[in-house]
Amino acid sequence: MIFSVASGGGRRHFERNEMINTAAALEEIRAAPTQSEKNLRAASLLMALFRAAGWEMVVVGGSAIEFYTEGDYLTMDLDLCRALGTKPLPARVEADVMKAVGAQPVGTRRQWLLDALGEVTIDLLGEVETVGVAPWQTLQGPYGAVRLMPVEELLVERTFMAVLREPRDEEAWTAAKQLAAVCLSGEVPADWGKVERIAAGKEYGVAAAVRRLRKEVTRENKKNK
Amino acid sequence: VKTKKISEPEIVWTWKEWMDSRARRGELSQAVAGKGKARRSINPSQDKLKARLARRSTATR
Repeated sequence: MIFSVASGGGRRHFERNEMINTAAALEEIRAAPTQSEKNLRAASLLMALFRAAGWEMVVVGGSAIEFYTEGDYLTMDLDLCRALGTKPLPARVEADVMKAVGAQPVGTRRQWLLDALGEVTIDLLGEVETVGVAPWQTLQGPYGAVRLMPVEELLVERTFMAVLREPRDEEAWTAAKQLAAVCLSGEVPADWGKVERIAAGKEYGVAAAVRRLRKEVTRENKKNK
Repeated sequence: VKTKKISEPEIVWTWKEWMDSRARRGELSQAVAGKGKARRSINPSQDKLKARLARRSTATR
């Protein structure tokens, strides 16, 4: 299938080297052995299609956590935001991209179901919000680059979500611990100094909680060795 | 994994690097997940969405 999308004033067809074989990609997504890999491949395909239409997207929230921690934290949605500084996505472009992969809208133009992903919905959110201190991580995916929210910021945001509630939200705390574990081990490149800086900043103000999180993860890692 | 500093710094993974580190990342994250491991963050609107889809497909038959 040749993907074409409305771009600017008219319908633009892409040259051969820009073609995205959506049918083959969807087959590979269906055949992927885990839900996490299906989601990751779908993110790569969708981001490539949006990129071809002129919009750069990023993976945020639980979906980004799932990718960094490799599937233990499984979300039921694939959260995509527009990259910083991009203009709003016209409904027509969203619909063209979703139509290209055979996704169906679920009540709103921002939420779609793709049969290759089972019950996981594709959520198209607004422009990404970031404190902009830590680097983005980009995975060169099978159909195109997948840009992930900086892991340092995700970690602080999830810690913040955990301690907002009284008693603590254990699901959010566990997700933060899982992110901390992959970062502290060096398996995912992360700058802990930046984690602490973001945590101490006025945006979140959870420096003490992040210190507790690090201690807890370090202690458990020692125990598990 | 390379770090490049252009106008906006980013860390770039190849697909192979990512896939090769999957098992290790999975182990590390599961090791600290404790008794609540393999948790799923269920979108609370999921059931409503499914019901809405089912109604819609029935209506269009």
